Amino acid sequence: MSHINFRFHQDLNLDAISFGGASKSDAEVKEVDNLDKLHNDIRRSPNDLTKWDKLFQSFERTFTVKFEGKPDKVSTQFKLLVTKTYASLLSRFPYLASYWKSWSIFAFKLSGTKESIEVLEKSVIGFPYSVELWTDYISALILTYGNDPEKLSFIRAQYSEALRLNGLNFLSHPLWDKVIEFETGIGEKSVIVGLYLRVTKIPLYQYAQYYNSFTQINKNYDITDVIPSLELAEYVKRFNKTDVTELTLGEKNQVVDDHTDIIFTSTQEQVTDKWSHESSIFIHDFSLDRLDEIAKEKEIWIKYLDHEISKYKVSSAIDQFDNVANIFERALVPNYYNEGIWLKYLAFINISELEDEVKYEKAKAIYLRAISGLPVESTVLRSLYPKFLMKYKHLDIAKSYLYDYLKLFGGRGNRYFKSQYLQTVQDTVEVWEKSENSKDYLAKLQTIVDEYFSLHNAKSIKKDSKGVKGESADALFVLNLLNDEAITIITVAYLKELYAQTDSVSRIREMFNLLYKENAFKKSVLFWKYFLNFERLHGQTLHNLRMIINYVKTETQLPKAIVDAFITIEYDIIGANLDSAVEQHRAGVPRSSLEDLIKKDMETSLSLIRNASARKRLANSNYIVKDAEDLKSAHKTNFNREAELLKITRKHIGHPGILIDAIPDITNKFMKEGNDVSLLDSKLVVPSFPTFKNAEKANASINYPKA
Amino acid sequence: MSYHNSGGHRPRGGYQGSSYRGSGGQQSGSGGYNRYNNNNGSNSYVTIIMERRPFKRNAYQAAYHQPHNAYNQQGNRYNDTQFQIWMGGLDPTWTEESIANIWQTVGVPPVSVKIMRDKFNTTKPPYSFVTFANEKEVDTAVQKNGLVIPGSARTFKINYAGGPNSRYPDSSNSRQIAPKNEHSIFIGDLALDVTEDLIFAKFNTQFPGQVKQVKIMFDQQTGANKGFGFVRFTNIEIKNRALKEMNGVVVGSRAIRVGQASGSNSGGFSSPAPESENHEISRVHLSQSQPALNQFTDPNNTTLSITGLSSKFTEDELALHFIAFGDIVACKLSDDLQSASIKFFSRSAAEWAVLFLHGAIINDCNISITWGKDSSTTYKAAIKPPLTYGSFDINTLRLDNFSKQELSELFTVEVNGNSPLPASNINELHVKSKLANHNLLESALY
Repeated sequence: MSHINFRFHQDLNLDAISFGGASKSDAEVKEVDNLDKLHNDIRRSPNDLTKWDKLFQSFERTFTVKFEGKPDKVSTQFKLLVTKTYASLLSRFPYLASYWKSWSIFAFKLSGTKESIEVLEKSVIGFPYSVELWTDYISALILTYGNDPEKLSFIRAQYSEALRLNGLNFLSHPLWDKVIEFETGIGEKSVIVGLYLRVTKIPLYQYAQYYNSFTQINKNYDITDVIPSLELAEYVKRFNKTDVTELTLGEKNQVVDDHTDIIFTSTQEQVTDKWSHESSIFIHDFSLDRLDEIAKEKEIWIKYLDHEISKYKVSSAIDQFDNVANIFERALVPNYYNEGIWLKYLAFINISELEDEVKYEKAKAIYLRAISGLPVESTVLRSLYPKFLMKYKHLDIAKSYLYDYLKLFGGRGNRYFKSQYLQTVQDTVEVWEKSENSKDYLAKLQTIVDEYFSLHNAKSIKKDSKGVKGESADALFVLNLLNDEAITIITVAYLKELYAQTDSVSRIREMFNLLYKENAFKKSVLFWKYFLNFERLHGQTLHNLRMIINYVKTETQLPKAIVDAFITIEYDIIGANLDSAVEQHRAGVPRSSLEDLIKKDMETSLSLIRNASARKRLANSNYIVKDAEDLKSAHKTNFNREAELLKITRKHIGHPGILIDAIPDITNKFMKEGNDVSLLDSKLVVPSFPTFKNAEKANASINYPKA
Repeated sequence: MSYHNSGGHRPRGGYQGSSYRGSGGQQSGSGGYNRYNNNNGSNSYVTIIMERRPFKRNAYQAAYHQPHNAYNQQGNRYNDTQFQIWMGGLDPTWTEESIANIWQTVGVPPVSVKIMRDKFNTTKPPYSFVTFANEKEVDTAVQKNGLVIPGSARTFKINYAGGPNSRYPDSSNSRQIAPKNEHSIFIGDLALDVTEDLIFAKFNTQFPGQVKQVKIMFDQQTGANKGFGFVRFTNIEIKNRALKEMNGVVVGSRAIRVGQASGSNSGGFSSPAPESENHEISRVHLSQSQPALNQFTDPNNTTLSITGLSSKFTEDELALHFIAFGDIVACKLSDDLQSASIKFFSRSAAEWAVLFLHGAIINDCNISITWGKDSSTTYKAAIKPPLTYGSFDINTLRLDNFSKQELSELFTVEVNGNSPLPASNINELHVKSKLANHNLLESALY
């Protein structure tokens, strides 16, 4: 159970309630202490059913000791306590059918039939796909109100609902039995025939039983009731008669038998088809401790569903849709916490041939059930819901969900779901773009960017922000939920919109100058990609492009793969604009683009010796170098980060990952920086003999870290 | 398997030096730069197709053999058997000519072959001496030991002739054990579960850095240890100390017994070691310690352990930082998101990654990288990855994103680096690499 984190539905506010009665005996005080302890246990581990069991057992004890046999004496406080406790458990795990049942039994003991039935009514609302609970509920209704003609329509309405939800369930025979038994007792022919005609067509585990009992009674009814008029007309034609009334009794019986047999045969086929799947599924109940077995059976459910869905794809019949939907609901009872099956269900709704409106309602209901029930870790389904709402143009609801998710995924005090969070930011921007007019949209983005980077003091912005309306509360609300990574998405959206609306290259470049040094963009691919593409389109020369790439190469913390991709793009651009590069070179620009063209392979090399820009980039963001700098800068001012980085790298010699401090080295290298011997020098002197350090340590044994 | 290849140790400097031999006078002063010189310029331009950073295993092994030969030379390469090898396990039908033909077919034509038969005891199997033109060919020939002989069910049984390992009992040069045996002691009463690593660890804690080598004798048929072995030390003092201090020390499940190794000049303590095995120990030519095999010492380990992530990474994002170095086999964040382990396809990729990113600040996190292992249990030796060759624009991949089927297709599509490519293929590869770049940038979340 440890790997499922259940979502906390509702605070367990149980301590507010205690026993009634003014004076408390010692025993009572003890009992109250005990209850407190049990409540605390539950609060600590609300998913541990044994803790809950203990609490319910203590209720039973209290009842036996204090109120057994005197139902009128039961205090309302105690009743309330029991109700609250059960309700809080079952709102957390509504699919725990056995607890619903024990609650209804206890409610009967405490308060009588009416309360007990109320509990059952709640149970079928909380767990509408339980055949067991519905059967109990309908039985209780029949038992209590069965003889009351005024309640008949109510009972019928309830069982119709039960059959609508669960009639297709392969194992729903107890429910059907109950309903047919009840209606047979009442004896309304049309209702009974209607039920039989319905049930015999459904592939049920006990399908033969209904066929048998139907063949026994079907001749007692008028043939027009048993067979639909269209098919009846066919039969009449086959007997060369013009009207039903002309059929003899024998012929009529023959027709009825034939028709029932046809139904039976087709139902039997369907049952056989399902049986291979149904026979290998053993767990139909929600369970918190048989997760391994449930996980095993999940595969069977999925195969079963795929099989039935493929049948639906062929027929597109609404019957088959209902059938698949019912199997989904049944699969979701044991697999309630399996996000995959929920998603599969939604995908099925999506491909179904229902009307858009119906589809929306159905999918929405499923989303809402899943979101309220699944643990926070089920992020995929959650993130899909706003997209779904956007698709059906419910932008405001989508927005409110997105804001919720910004909080939920953003890791305020909790876990940070990075990719989901950033996706939510992206979606939020999209919703804004769709739901607001372009001016407001731009203003909103601008407000956020300005506020985040405190650009208000920057002159260029102030000038323009007068024109736009003041910040909306919306923007400020979202601003508080943003981090360094999210702001880069907003910034890029802002720049895109700004350019689209102002068509001013210089504005964008101003923004670049304001922003590019911000720490947030050191890690942002989007930001640099935007400017790379921008300069590629709008740059008159290669100069800006080079500056940007150069900054990316030396100052950012981007992954090497990304930097390499940028370098390759720059290489392609220079290659396509060779004239410009050559011109630049002729004009004497120091370090022209031509150099980048030539050095491309070096600049993408993995070697820190060859790859000067990577060396600089990493030297700027290496904490070992930084530590060394902090240590040394107290004495020296000119600290060479790159040299320090190389020094660290050299400690890996021979065995990367195992650092060795004493590396043999030449102390008087004549090829050190700026110390090179020029071969043009006519008065070359022979360099002095090399001197070494650590040479004697070359053979020292290596200290490998302890494994 | 001869002993010197079995250790997890890699001599410092030797690796780089030998790997890149032939790249032409670039082995300048400090060893550290050799590694980088390999990439110097020309490769990627001159040859369009570049090897996908292959393992330089062959060069590595060749280098390993160098000192080996030098060692042998001292004693006995200066007589007429200088470039001669001993070859046993002969088929009775073979003649000197047919043996010469065999060597011809495996690419090492001999200068002469001489079959030796025992005149007095004809039941004894014959053996032969094969002479080659030079030392290099002798080395190549000796490496064939254990391989199947073409056109025959037999395998090569070869040894240096007249060398310390010769099985030729009459060889006048075969008794040169003494100088090699110096500073070694005999260890006996070993339990069956005792390994060389275990003995080494035990002695090394007592005499750190002073143990040159440990050898346990194994039964060739059963593979079980024979209950005794030898430990060699750097000098005589340590050896004498060991004789005093290590007797009765418990290694594995039993106390060991130590004594003078036979042939040792100090004498006085006779060892029960059979002479034939005694030759084995003298075959060790490198003085090197053997650390226990673990993730740090296994030269085939390609798994890195990354710490310091402080929950600021997604798996994909982390993989993106490492994908530039080579194909990634697995990338897994720990449950608390503080650390991760990444397994590369090739060792070189993992090494580049360590060199490049150890100590880097990524996403405001201080990253440190070291060698890791696959599971939290004891370390199992890594399997040596196969050699791979790739196209010139290498798109490194996350192999864990592919199914088995896709992977096998991927690797058959991969171009052999040695054959020239038609233009259409080159174009295709070019487009592929452009697309990969594009996708890389498009997939960025922020």
